[in-house]
Amino acid sequence: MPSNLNLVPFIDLFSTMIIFLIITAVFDQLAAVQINMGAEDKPADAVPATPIKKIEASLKVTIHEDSIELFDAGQREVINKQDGEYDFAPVRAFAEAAREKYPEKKDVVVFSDDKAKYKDLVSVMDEFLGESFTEVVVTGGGGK
Amino acid sequence: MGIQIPGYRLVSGHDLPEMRARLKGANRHRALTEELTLTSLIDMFSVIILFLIQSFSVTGEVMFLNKDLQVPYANHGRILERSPIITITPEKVTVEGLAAGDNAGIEDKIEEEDWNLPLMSEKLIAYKTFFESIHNGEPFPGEVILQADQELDFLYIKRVMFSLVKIGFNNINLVVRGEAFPEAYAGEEAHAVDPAGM
Repeated sequence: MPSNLNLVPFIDLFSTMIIFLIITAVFDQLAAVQINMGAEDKPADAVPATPIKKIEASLKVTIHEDSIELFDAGQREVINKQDGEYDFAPVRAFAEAAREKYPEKKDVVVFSDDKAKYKDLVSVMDEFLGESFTEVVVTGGGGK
Repeated sequence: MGIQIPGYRLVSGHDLPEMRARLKGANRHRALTEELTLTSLIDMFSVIILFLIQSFSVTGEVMFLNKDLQVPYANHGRILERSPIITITPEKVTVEGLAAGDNAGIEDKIEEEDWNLPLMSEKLIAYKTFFESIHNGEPFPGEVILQADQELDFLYIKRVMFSLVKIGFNNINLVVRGEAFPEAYAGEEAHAVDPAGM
């Protein structure tokens, strides 16, 4: 005599799981790009307002309102905005080349003009983080 | 009443054969209860569960994005952890949704002289005091979450960073859209120096 599989507990379990998962679902995938100001062990009132970390990196990026300059030990490459947007492929190529040239290096300095867009800063940081340049120094003003 | 053209009529043998068969008693041997076909239902449940499990986050929703903000996209972000949320708009700066500074006329303000955000500093120092009171002996991480629209000028970010440095909030998490990787930094962090560029 054929016996049917009792599916009622399956359906109960699935329904409960669906309700739980829908309640706890995270549809906005958010992450963080962290900037460390380099004085984490000091108490708040001991943190100086003067420069905290001396900039010594040979890799530098300057983000202007309409162009990005990439510096590597004196060599300069300029990327201009096209149709109001940057193409970050040259920045990626620059980061990849720098990674090959300096396998141990982790620091890069990003100067940002006041009029530079926040998204461009994040995109530049993201390209370098992708090549394991984990010490991305962010500062205001245009550096050369 | 005039003569009308007759409409369509049921024709035996062509229409409702099932009904006719039942009326004739051909299906008397059928059970009174019919079994539902559950296979398709379980298939659908399985697909929904797989989708939901795939988008499941163990850390939950750390923060809710301001609906007016479009945060930038990044591929190499790290997992967000709970800390005070600072929102920057061209009009104002808010801490945990409460106004903490005014950005109006920021371009006319003089760096270092007019850039302080005393209300924001006050709120964050109060948070720090509270943290230290409930985490006895644990070092204060000095972390904040900073969210801003992707089209915002860096000038606004710089002002907030300037104030944060002064009160010892040295770990600034820029909120980005994209998948978070716990190993993204392998225990290391990006660094920033004096945001005013001095």
